[in-house]
Amino acid sequence: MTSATRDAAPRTERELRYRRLRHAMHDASLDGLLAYAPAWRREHVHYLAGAGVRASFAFAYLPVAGDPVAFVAGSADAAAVAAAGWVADVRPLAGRDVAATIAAGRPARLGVAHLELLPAALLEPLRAGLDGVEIVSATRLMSLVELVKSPWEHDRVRAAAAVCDAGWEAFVACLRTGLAEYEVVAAVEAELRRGGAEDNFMLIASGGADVRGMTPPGPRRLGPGDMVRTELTPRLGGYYAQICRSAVLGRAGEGQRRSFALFAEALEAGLGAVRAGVTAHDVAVAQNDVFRRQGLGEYTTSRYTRVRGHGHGLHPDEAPPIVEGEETVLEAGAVVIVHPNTFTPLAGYHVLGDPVIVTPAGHEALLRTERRLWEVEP
Amino acid sequence: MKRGLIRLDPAELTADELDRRVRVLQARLRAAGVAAALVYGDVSRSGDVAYLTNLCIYWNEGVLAVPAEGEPAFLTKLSARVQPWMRATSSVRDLRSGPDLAGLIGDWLAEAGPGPVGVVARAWWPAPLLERFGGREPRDLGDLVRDQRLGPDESELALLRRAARVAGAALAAAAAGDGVARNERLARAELAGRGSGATDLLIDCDPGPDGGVALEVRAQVLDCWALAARTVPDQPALATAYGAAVTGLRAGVSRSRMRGTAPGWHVDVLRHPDLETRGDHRPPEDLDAPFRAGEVAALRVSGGGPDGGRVVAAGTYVITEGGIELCAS
Repeated sequence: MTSATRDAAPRTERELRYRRLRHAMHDASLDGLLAYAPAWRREHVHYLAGAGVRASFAFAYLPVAGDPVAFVAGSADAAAVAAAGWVADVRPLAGRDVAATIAAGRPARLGVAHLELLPAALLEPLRAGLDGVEIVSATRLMSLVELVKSPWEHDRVRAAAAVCDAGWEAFVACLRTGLAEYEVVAAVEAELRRGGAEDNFMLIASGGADVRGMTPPGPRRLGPGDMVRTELTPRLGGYYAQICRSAVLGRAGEGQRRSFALFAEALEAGLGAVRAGVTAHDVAVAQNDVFRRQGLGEYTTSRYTRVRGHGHGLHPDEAPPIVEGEETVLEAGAVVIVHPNTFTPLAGYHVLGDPVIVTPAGHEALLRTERRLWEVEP
Repeated sequence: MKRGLIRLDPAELTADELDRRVRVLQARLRAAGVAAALVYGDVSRSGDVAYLTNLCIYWNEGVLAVPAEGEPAFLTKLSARVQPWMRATSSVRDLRSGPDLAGLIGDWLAEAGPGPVGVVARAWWPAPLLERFGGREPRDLGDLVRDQRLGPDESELALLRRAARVAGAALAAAAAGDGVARNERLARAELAGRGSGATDLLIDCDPGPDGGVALEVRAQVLDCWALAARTVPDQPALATAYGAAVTGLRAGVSRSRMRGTAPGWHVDVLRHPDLETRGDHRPPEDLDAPFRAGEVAALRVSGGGPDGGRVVAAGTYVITEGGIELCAS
């Protein structure tokens, strides 16, 4: 574990976040903001409480004025939130108590982050105890506040990016004929853990030009000539960073080299478009135009690919999606990965992507790993 | 995210077995007088969907729609580009993708025709989804699928035994050696567990007494989970308490009765379908429900260490009339 991950977030970080959230709450006419954390989407509670939790449910509540309250299930989560020092009032999670605490502040309008995922067992007692209170989704509100990271957060993402580099090195080092996809992931996971990673979002695909996308690993064993693609996203100190690269077992074929050249050009174009004030749409167009110029524009559509990048931080796939039509402005301090990943007939699905911090003049690259098509002794 | 081995291998799970599980559920739906059941799952709680289809919700969320007669359909936010993989690793042929899960549900219900619709484990459905059933008030079917899973069939028992062996291998790797750094213990567990074919591996490594660690490993193989835990270095008082709890676990006892088997310690028994969520979704009546012979459950004894830190011991067992046997054996 690095010092970056050990250090608790300072009080100045807490005040910055609460000030920004309350500004957004004011603009949205919210009297209170309730962040909900199901087991697979904990980013908003983490942002508000300055701490990660383990249980399947947790809430953190920020009133428009006054002190925050956390509602957690279990002593381990209570200890984690208390240790972070941001929320002094930590209570056991019980639906009626959550509602009673919020009702005491007499809000007229309550925003709930991840309202869309809130189970009936938790939302129904909340509604029953908040009769007359308008409950609306605040998921996008929190996502947009979280999009622009603070300098303290940038340090965390940089630390996670260093683990990305180590993870890719481990990925390349383990590749050999006969190894199964799931064994590749096991080797990479071990290295990420060794580097202090707490979690990882990782997709993989191996094979030839018939590969159409990436999934969790299967039992397929690697063979000479395979291109092995991965998107790996370790979390360190609560923050994710992502790397996308492809490697070939043996010498890359003509199609694989042409494919890499295409993706490298698209990535450079996307990164070249990144600077404070542009939209996610602008960055997507810059990448897609490279494909269009080569007559491969159809492979930038949703039939073949999802996004041309996205934000990441406390969650591996944050707003905004980098796609054409997405007009969210990238402000200085935002962290995004630019990846033109898609299928083409040249060599099948190809991935290449780098995360960056958006700056007024452009971007700060976060990875050390070279952008090249890796060739590995089979 | 689930990032371990996912496959549909007839040697470990046949199409006939998956079909049988769906048919058992469909018979229960007809008996309950509903035309269809909808089973919600997300990446953190997908065991019911996996049990019926071997579908792995490795990320995001989805709904398995099971008509009382006919073929199930899987409705998901996962992209249509993933459908070939889902077909290759599951028994589902009708896959429908889109960003609006409620819309997919509405379309499927419209095709399914009239008749009462049930939802499995309504309490844990996202409430906003339940509010978009197009005027059809879904009936709560309770933990219908979990109940079906409580008595594992032969193939599921084999997978549970594999999950227990994977959890044990990961735990043994993590616990080996004195003075090993926390991150190195975790690295060894990942390599051993995922290298043994875990579909998912969740590891807690907390500070223990005497500068040691409390290690807890949950391992998934397809829809089956097992738990193994130990404290390093060994804690004699914990071993005594764990031994007492082991002696008390048999068919006919309940979780509430098990609490008294090791006074001063926190004793919990988690039925295997509840392991993926640490027992957080257990229905209230589970506390006093007696264990039945043939069930698979994890026994966990935990507490505070003599000089601070956490201590824990756990194993996964098959419950018999006379006691228990190690699931991994």
